[in-house]
Amino acid sequence: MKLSALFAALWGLAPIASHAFSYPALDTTSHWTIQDYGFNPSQGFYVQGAGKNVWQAAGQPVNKSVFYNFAVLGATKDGGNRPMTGQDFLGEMQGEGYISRYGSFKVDANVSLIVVLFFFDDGKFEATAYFSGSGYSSQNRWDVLLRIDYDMAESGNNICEFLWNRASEGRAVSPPQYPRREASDGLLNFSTASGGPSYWAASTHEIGVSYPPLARESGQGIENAGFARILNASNPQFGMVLWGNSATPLAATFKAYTSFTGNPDPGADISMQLQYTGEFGAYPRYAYAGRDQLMFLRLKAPVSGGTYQFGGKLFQRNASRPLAVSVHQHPQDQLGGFNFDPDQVVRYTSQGGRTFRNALGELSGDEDLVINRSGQGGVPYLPFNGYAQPGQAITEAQLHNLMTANRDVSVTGRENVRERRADIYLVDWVLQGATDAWEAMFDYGGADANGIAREGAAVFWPALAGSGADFQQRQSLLSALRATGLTLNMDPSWGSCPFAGYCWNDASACGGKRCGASCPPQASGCRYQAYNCANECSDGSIMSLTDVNHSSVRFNGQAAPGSPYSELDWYQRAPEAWVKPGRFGVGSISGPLPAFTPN
Amino acid sequence: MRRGSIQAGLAFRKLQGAFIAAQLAVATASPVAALPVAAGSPLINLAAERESYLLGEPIYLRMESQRAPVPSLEEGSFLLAIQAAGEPEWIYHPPLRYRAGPAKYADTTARARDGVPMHSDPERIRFARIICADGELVFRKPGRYRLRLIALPSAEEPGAKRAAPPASGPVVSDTLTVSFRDPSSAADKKAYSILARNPGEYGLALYLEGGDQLRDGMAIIAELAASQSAYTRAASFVLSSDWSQDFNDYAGGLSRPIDLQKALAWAQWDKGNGAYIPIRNAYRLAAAADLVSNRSGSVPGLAAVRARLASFLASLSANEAAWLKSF
Repeated sequence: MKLSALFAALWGLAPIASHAFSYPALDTTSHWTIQDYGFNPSQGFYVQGAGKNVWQAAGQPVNKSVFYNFAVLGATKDGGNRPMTGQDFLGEMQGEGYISRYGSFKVDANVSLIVVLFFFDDGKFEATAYFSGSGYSSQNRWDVLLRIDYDMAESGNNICEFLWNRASEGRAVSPPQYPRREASDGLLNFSTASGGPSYWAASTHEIGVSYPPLARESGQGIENAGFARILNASNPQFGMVLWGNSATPLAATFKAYTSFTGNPDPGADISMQLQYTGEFGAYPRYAYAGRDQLMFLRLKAPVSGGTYQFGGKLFQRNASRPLAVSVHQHPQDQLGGFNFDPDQVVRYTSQGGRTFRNALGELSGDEDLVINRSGQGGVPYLPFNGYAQPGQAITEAQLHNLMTANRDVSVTGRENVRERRADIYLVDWVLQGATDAWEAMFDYGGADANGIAREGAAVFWPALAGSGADFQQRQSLLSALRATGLTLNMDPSWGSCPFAGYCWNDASACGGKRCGASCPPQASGCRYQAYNCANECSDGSIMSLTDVNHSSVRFNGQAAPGSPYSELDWYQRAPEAWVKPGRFGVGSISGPLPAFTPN
Repeated sequence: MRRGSIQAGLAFRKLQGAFIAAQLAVATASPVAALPVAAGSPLINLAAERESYLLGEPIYLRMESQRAPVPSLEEGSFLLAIQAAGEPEWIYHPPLRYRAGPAKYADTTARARDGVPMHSDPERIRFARIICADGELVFRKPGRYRLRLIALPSAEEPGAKRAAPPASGPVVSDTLTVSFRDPSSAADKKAYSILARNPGEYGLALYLEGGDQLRDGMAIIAELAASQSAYTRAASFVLSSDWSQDFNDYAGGLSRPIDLQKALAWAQWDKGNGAYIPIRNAYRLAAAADLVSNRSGSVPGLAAVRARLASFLASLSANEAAWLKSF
């Protein structure tokens, strides 16, 4: 074997590059900070000003607030309020990896509520409570009431999201919202019945949500079986996931702070705006800006009696949004000898040689980009048998089959997939019924176990033919970039320029055609048309309809007209980037810390 | 089976059309001259096969223009806006989206080279399968719905980049009103309870017109096809369409080739309740027949399929024949 071949073989077998550690990251080596704690009859047992350190860079911790006020207000007995009327004892302790505040408080004649609040160095926190005293009987229905005034990273305004699935009330991807009649009472019930995967969803208005006991999955994940998560508003990176335990049913009411009246157990007011949400047809409802909020929590009697539990964990998302792209292709001898090469220069621009890799690197950062292709990293070449013969048309059902069969879905390890993933298929087929299609994407809508709705996108190699082998190869790389953009939830309409009106011949225009509301006098070839734009010329981006010779081969960094977002913004900062696939610094929180170099 | 210099897709179309063309004397429409446009008249007319549907039934929306080619909804050129009574209008997102190359047929020379007529009749008729989106059925509640097509806000130059879909844009079609109601007969209620097991996947199977990878969806389709209800016809068509396509079980075990006999057994030919299904069924069968005829060995059912197609195609009006080519 030649040395070069050996090297190539080794390269092909090389493990995927490990990710560089990036900041900011939660500091898991120090305790939480707590400004004050105590008891008073108006707010029960409270912790004031709880916060945690986040490393902004090596050796540079910054304290970030979590709870402005975390209070166990008291209890209810058979529906009647039982506020804390006095304390039996109050104290604090700390150990390796945690600090704690605890106390015992009178809530009824000869009944005390014992509460222990744990704050763990790794970002977890936990409230444990139980009733004690000769007046207590499990024959009565005792609930524990909490009020949590959160203040994530001093943002003031926060965003709250809660767990939802298609089997829940309303049976929609997004929970039904005011003024729709299903939510007229402002209450939603989560169902564990089979109804597809669960989503994080946000409500525009104040909302109450109730959950049966949700068993947490084991593992290092941050989001497994959480029922809600709270994030700092505006490009959120710091937040917490909340969870109960396998025995404690709970109900949460998210309230706008301005509508807080002092009632320890208020309902949701659906006329009160809680936060600002955007309705994306294919996705759950996402919030994009928060308001000052607080949450009221009712821990219901554990199903088999015993301890009431509630807790959660902080997360600090990395600054970047890592990306892993797998390019599946047919064997190269079917593609004119072409093997997808992410480092092939497809066009020289003022930015230098542009490649698949450096274009995507502008989205995620070079260190957070992983690209695999057929023949490498365990990605096989695509088959023909059972689908369509080379060069022929594939049906939509067959293409969907190919994509779902190859998609990288990791059910068991869903919290351990750090990157946003995209699967691209370079196929020696055309799409039946749309044989001139260059790229196609399936969007089933429902998120898979990785929280990704997109099935993948295909590039149709034969449809790129007609302008020479060099163009076809380079265009396939550009089309793969477009296809990646589509699967990353960038809006496809950015790439199309629909037009309904008059077009006429104009040699000076890009593509030799100009369009407008009416034909100018003497215009030749003028006709009323409806079609996608023909050209975008040299200022086009990857999402545009240009061919490779007329593209900047860059994702557009400028906001599209009429939109607050550019393509880069959309990937890096839009709501989808916050919550999908929802892996907020798993490694940073639960994994081993890097060896920081003191400054 | 490699293509030569000609585009593979066009070759496929020609291959597929060979049989049909031999049976049908459908004249290729000549290029249409620029037409004067009456102010305010819609560019595209929408039509459904009927006004009233049961929840869970698909709408086969016909989009037709006398003046311009009608893009597919999947291309995203036009957006289908749907509004239920008393609710905000929302945009339908088809499960599949695609984009064609930019300037492939921008000039008549390229079209002539590839044998694609300018603005032939089939390009002025499009069908859209409105059944599922976002992993759900599109129409989930009884009531009346208004459907219309809107374009993104126009710019002087079509090359201008666009933002995300707007809440509203120029309306380019008339408004179609359809109503959906709960099933009321015992058979329809039972059928609805079957599809309600997994309406999202059932809807996707209807949209894709097959797909054995959709285990739940195709199981529902099979049950509906085997029973008698308002849902039987569409389900039977999807089964026929499914058997008209090879299926590869990537995980192994369930791969199967086209089965023309089964495809024919489930085929729907009655145009009385709408012509989309029988014409689309003929399209699927013709494509399957062309594919298997190139394979080695005898093909069970091929002669029967061709005979049935011949008699069906002979029954089509010129307009319906144009629909067939619009696929």
